[in-house]
Order: sequence, then C-alpha cells, then structure tokens
Amino acid sequence: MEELHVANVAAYLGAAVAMGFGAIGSGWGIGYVGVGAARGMARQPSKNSALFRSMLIGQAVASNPSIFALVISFLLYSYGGNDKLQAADSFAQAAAYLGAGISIGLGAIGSGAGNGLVAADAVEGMARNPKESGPVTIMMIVGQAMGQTPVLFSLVVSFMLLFTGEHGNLNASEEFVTSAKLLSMGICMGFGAIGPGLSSSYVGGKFCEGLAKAPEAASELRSAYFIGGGVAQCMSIFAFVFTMILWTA
Amino acid sequence: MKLKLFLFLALICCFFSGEAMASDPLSPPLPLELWGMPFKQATVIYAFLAALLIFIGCFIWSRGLSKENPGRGQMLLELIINAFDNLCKSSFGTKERGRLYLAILTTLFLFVWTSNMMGLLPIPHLAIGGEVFTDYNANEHYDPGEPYIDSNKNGAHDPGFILPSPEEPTADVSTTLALALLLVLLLGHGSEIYYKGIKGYVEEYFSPGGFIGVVMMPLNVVGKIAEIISISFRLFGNIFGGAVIISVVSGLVCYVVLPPFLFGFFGVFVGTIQAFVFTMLALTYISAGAAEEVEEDEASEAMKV
Repeated sequence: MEELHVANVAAYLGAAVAMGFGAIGSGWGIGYVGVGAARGMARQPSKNSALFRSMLIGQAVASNPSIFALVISFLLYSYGGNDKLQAADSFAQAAAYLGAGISIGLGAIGSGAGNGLVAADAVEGMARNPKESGPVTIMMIVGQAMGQTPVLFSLVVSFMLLFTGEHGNLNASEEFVTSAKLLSMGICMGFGAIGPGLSSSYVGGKFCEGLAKAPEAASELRSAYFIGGGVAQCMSIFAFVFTMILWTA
Repeated sequence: MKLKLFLFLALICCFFSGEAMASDPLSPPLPLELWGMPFKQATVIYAFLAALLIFIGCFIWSRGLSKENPGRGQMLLELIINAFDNLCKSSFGTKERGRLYLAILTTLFLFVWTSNMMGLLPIPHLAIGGEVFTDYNANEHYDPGEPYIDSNKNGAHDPGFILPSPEEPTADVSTTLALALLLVLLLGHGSEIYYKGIKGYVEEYFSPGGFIGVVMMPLNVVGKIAEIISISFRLFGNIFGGAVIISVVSGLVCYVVLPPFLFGFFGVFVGTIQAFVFTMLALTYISAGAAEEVEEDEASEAMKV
C-alpha cells in the first residue's frame, strides 16, 4: 500500500464536482431553447428554417458555461492522474483543487440556465416579428454574453486556484488556515454566481422579447436593460470582490 | 510622411530586438523574458502572423474594385463593411459618429477572428538551425518550446530559431487583456472624456445622482473594472477551453474520426461567434459613453434607413 496522495484525491473530486454541477444549468437551458423554438415555429410555421438556425446559435452559446466546467474538469483530471504536474501534495493544495471545482461547477448553474432563457425568449420574439430578427439575434448574443459574466468570474477564480501559489512547505496551523481560505474562495464565488447569472439573463431575455414586440422603443429598452442587467450583476461582483479579499487575507 | 514614420518604427523594433540578442548570444531571437515578465513566443509569432495575413489578404482583396462589375470577393467585402456600418450607425446614433469607430471595430473583428483560426494552421513544431538536444528521455522536464538547458554539461544548447506549433494568440490572457484595455479603457473611456469633458465623465460614476449616487460610486467603479475582466476572460476562456478540449478529446479517441469535427465546432464555429461577441461588446461599451444624442425624429429615421 502506497501512501495516500491527498491532492490527487481532491483533484478527482474537484473534477467530478465541476462537471456534475456544471452540467445542470446548461443542460436545462439548452433544452429550454428548444421549447422556445418549438413555440415560435407553432406560431410562425413559414419561418421554420430561420428559427431553427437561431435556435442552434442560441444553444451553442448557452453551452459555454458547461464547456468552461468541462475544461476545468479536464485540467483537474490531468492533475489527479499525474504526480509530476502537481505543485505540492498537501491539504492546502487539495483544498485549492476542490475549491476550483466547486467554484466553476456551482457558478455554471445560473448562467447556463439563464442563457437558455435569453435564447428561448429571443427565438419566440423572432417568430412574433420576423422583420426584426436581425437586431434581435444580435441582442440575443449580447444578452447571453452579459449573462455569462458571473460564470466568467467563477472561471477566473478557478484558474487562480489552479495555477497560482505553491501550497507546500507550510506548518500545521498555516496549512489549516490556508486550506480553509482556498476552499471558502471556491464556495463564495460558486454560490455567488448562481443568482446573478440567472437574473441578469432573465432581464436580457425579456429585453429581446420587448425589442421584437416594440422595435420603436429600442433605445429606451436598451438603456433599461443595461442598467437593470448591470445592477443584477452587482451581486456576483460582490462575491468576486469578497473572494479577492479572502485571497489577500 | 507615413513611409518615414514606418521606417522609424521599424528601426526602433530592430534596435530592441538587437539589444535582446546582444544581451545573451545563446538566447533565441525573441526574448523569453522581457522586463521580468514571462514572454510566450507562440503568442507573439502568431499574433504577428495573423496581422500580416489580414494585411496581405485585405490588400489583395481590395485591388480591382469596380462599381459596374463587382466580383464575389467584393460582394463579401461590401457585406462585412455594410453590416458593421449599420451596427455602428444604430449604436452611435448618427452615421458620422459611427464612421469614426467603423474602421477600428471592423479591424478588431478581423484580427480576433483570424487569431481564433490560427490553431487550424498545419504547421509542425520547428527548430531552424542551432544545436538541438533530441534525447528527450534524458531530461523529463524537457519542454520543446523552451531552450534546453543541460545542468550536467554546465551550459545551454543553442536552440536556433524556434517556430512553435500554432497556438491561438487569443488563447493567451495577455492578448485578450491587452485588446480589452485598448478598446474599453483607452477608446471607450477616452472618447467619453473627449465628448463629455472630465466633469461629465466623473459624474457618470455618481450615476443616479444625489445621496444614492454617492453610495453607488464604489459599485460603479467596480462595475467598470468588471467590464474589462469579463470581456477579456470570455474570449480567453472560450478559445483556451476549446484548445484544451480539442487536444484532450483527440487524445482520448487516438486521433481517429473525431478531431476534424472538434476543430469544426470549437475552432471555426465557436471562434467566429466569440469574435463577433467580443466586437459587439466592445461596440456596446464604447457607444455607452460616446453615442451622439439625437432627436426623436432623427432617431426613428436612422432606424428605418
């Protein structure tokens, strides 16, 4: 029996958490785009092919959060299998790996589901008013990109936990505190990204729907959207700022 | 005048590269470390290659344009320019204001798109000239991208000129962060100061005004910083993630059947969408500060045209 490598175990665990939780949001969201497209096609059967194309674009962008989770999952998996890639084999390193998995895994839930909401509302709006499908497609992509801001904060925190810092050579009490710090960074950013990802995307979806219903009010809608969506994202910014405070602690 | 400026810049570049070579005769032509910061050769080489490809491509593309008899290439070029012109016009309010930003935004799109496609180039990892250490097993930390330093023989092998295998420049966070800083900070904030004055620019941070504005000030500042982080890491995450997934999954299936489809989705499709998203977000952030105020009638007219 060889000695137990804590960091390897944590890397595998982190990979599982990242991909398992990360698939929830996008899985639901991609399906919901299909629901929106089906509703739209029932309303406007003559525009089937255009709606189908928009649905595919929306689904491709909505799969982004889970792709981020997949990347972190692959990286953690490669760390788990290879002793040489790893910086150190300590409890602090294990906490960093687990924190990276939790951060991106939970963070992908809100944005993934929210991106689906945006695309579904936009596709329905295009069916309602096919003449406006150009601007609505553009604003759909912008809205999805805005909805992905929280998961990007999660990604940044995951990369920080994976790539920065040597967590070996610590004495017992330092190691305990560092482990707690690194794990709580992941938890803070992971949970903090769920709500804002969902809500800022929801604003974006309703904005696309409104743009299709009332194209003449585009500028008012746009300013309302950027303020509303920006304020909704504040909570994820709080979480990110607090994560940075923990990092420097 | 422009030629003189170009020659001057070229001289400066030669001076810097010469200095870097003179400092250590065994170092490769591009420094591995510049001012204490790590320096990734693949990013620099392929970013310049992308810029060169765009320059040559657009130079050839724009020869022989005609009004009466437009060819296919001209139609495509007009399609791209027209689409961006309309976008700029609707975002910046008027056509004139939009035209000011048209060139840089179109160039940005072309550069980011070409950079995202760099991973598709079939260039092997090359070392031209120099003495290259080939027994990889002797040193397990051997990295083909770095000059090989053999501690047993007390000296560095001259690696010659290393041409790394293609990597997307946008898969390096320094490229995307530089683009984000250039566009959002310099162009966006710069033109906001230019159009609204320093006072108007500072007032923007106290945006709802009054007591609430004072409370909201730190939030607005953090929000502006978050814009830069999110725009740069979105591009970086997508392209870097695509590259990681392509290499890992290709390895899992032993390079059979699947890799072309992976390159098609993560290379071409995601690359195109992310280039467009990056340009659209830059346009949105810049136009938030630099849009021209237009009257209601003009605005509705501008939307119709």
